[in-house]
Amino acid sequence: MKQSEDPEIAGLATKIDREEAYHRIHAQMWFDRLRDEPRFVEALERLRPQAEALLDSAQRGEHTAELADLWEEMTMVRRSQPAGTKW
Amino acid sequence: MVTEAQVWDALAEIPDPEIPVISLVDLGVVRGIDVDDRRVRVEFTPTFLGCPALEVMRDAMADSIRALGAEPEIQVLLDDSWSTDRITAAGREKLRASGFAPPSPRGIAAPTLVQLQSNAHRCPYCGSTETRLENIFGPTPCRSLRYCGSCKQPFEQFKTI
Repeated sequence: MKQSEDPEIAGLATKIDREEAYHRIHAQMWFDRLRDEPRFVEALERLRPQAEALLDSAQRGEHTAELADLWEEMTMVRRSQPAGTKW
Repeated sequence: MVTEAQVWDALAEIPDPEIPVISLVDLGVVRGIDVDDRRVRVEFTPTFLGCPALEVMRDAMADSIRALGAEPEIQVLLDDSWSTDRITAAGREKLRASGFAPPSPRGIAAPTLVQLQSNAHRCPYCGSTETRLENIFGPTPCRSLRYCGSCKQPFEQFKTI
């Protein structure tokens, strides 16, 4: 997306990627702290199909069956708000 | 007739909604001002995309231009033009004086954990570099929490983006 011909998409993707660096480091730190915690490992295994569905979809350009569950979860907050809610 | 200088002065009076010790002009979010008779166009380059204060900043700028008797047009720039390097020298000093460690200059590559854990970050209270990372995210996503081993004081460090 950073290479997009649309300057707005390319600009925003570049900006998001710079901010994401901190989120990736934060996630890695939590992963390292919790990697031997059985509840963490169990939850990771349970959620792995959803993460893979997202990556597969992005790579192949088509949706896998797991995407429906993932979509449900990712859009939950937005759908729970009355129409026209502004943040 | 409003002048461009009057608009800059008015915007320099608006405090950052989250860190009111600095103004929107100190923060570097105003990239340009264009005055055309009674219309004033402001190019606004947002800080963090997820920042909840962006709408507050936009509305405060519009109100301030209306107070000058002009019609505001706030153009939100959808590009990558803001970075913490845009915070002015005066803004950085105001941050430091209020106990917020200003962001380090931006490097060529993305920040790494090793960098964040290094002691290159100076305590805003005592000036010591003997500080350690406590948490990458502080009270807002744009700040980290650090602890100064020299004066035993926790402090907030602006992230560099």
